[in-house]
Amino acid sequence: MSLGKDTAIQIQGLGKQYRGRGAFKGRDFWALQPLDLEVKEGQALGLIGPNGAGKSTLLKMLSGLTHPSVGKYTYRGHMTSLLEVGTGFHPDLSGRENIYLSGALYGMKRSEIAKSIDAIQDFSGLHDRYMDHPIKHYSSGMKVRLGFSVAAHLQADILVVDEVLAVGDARFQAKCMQRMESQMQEHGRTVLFVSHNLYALQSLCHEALWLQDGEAVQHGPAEAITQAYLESVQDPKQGIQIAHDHAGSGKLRITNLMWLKGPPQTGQSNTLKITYQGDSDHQEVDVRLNVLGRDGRFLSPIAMHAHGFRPEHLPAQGELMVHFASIPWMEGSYSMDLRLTERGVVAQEAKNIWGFKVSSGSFLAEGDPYTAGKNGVHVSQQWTINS
Amino acid sequence: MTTIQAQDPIWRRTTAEIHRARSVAWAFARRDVQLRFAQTRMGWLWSLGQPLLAAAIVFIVFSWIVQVQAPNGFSYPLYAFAALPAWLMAQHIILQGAPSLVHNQHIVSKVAFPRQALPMSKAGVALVDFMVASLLFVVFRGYTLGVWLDGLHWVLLSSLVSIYAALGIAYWIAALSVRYRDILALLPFLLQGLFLLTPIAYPTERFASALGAYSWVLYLNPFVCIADGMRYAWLGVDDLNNYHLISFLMATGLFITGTWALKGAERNMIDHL
Repeated sequence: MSLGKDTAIQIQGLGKQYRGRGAFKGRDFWALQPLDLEVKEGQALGLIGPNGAGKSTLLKMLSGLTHPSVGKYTYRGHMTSLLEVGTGFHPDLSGRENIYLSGALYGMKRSEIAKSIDAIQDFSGLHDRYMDHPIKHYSSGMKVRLGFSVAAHLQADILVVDEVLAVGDARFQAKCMQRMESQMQEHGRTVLFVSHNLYALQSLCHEALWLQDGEAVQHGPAEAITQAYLESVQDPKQGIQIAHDHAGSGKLRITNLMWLKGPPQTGQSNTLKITYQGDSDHQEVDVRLNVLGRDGRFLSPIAMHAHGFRPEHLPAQGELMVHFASIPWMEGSYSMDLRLTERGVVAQEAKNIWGFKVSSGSFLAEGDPYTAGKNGVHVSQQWTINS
Repeated sequence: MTTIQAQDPIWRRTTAEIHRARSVAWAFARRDVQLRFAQTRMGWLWSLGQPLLAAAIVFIVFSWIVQVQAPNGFSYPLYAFAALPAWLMAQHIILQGAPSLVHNQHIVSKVAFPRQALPMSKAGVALVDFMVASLLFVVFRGYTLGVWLDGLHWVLLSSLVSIYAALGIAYWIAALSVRYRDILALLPFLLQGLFLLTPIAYPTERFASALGAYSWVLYLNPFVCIADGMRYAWLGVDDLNNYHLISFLMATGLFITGTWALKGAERNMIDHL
């Protein structure tokens, strides 16, 4: 097969089927339905979709971690996959030794690493004296920075990146994004990018592919696709059934989220009903719902412990109510990440689990509606005149 | 330009892949060597200590307790220790290489590289230890019988066969262990059985006296040709015969089939790990 002149990756009918074994015999399923896709050179393609949509399966096939069940893909040049930062790091080895080890795992030659080791150290911001210390003495942030710095200096024409930007401090994340963008512009590098951070995805990617249940739903300009995706997670009935396939121990799960008084309106009272399920009584449960804006940036928490609500016991299954005397969010679309812990152990974790729309209203009965044209949160305040 | 297809045959191998396997194996081997220094008090002294301890145990058990006699008037220690370094190398490769995929699953599930690189890398430290142990043997032989290096090419050949026979076994177990973890529990028994069935601490003639015409069965063990090859190389005894060809073919067959088994398991490995 030949590739078009400016095509970086050509995917034809690529799919992955898992056979049910043991108790699941006969229940084969397609983790990714046969997919056709073309990515042009120098382009960045973002993959979006809920957990279990097939994003990771696609990336795993492209990185050569797992073999496709059907179809094929062709690519030009050297392709490197980055599914994790700091892969292969060994705690007993020094920073320098780990750079060589991790680089070699990603297919860099020793001479290439030797050439860029100063740049790698520079990018990580780690001091000289740390480089010859075993990395078990590093803080977790330092390890992440070192891992990223190796990743940022990988030589590749095509880079496949899975959710790795989710770690590290914000400033360093921004530095990494910048580096990726400049590499794309200067070296015509092609990037395939999975992130639950829709803001990062929009700013980096030209195009996006929306996958759901192993099938391609929509493919097009990144902004339009992320918008369409965000709207789809907003259920018209204002409630959502949460699927089973999310991360965590699963001993306790939130199965439904719903606004009791219908679509929330700025300044009006409303109640969020959280339905949960489990097998036995629960202790020290903490629910954290992160409300995100349209661009995927974190706006405000809806969190149990943060609001001083710590029931000693929760029945095996039931409902939690969160009362809002006055909805603080301005008119617009919002989405939510979910994290549920029991005695500090993560029971359920999911990104972009639910979205809701807030309609326009005034935050205070006597105040005017405030429209900024974007997401925002009202904060209680008092105005006085000092004379 | 690279194309990956669902129907690619298992044996399809690109030169780039072989090159990659070597460089990754080299990086892992380097890691193992570096780790030998880190967090151990004696580091390289173990390369000396391990063969000496093994030799002491063999001597105590087989010479003092069982009272095995070396043929052709050789002193027992000289006879038994000739094949010991090669066996210790093979043992290290199997013991470390077979579980290496399961032990490094956090790496295996995140980076694609030719999987045989992991077991292969274990040959690095094993080879260093082998050279130190061989040097000890040369000194020992020089002290008791005089230095004799005419059979050095046989030493090289036997150690090469020893490496790839051990790799063949390590590949097989590594490939199977991805799906059937229990096989790793059998590893110590397998190694113990192999050691006892290989004529390292006793002469190969005992095979014939035990099984007579059926003694070829015992030559199915690939390490028989390695043990006898080593003794032939260092001492000029135990002429190689047709039966050793069986053993040699087994070693070669294990390596080829093992490589193929691991390559086959590679495709869906991360779904099982």
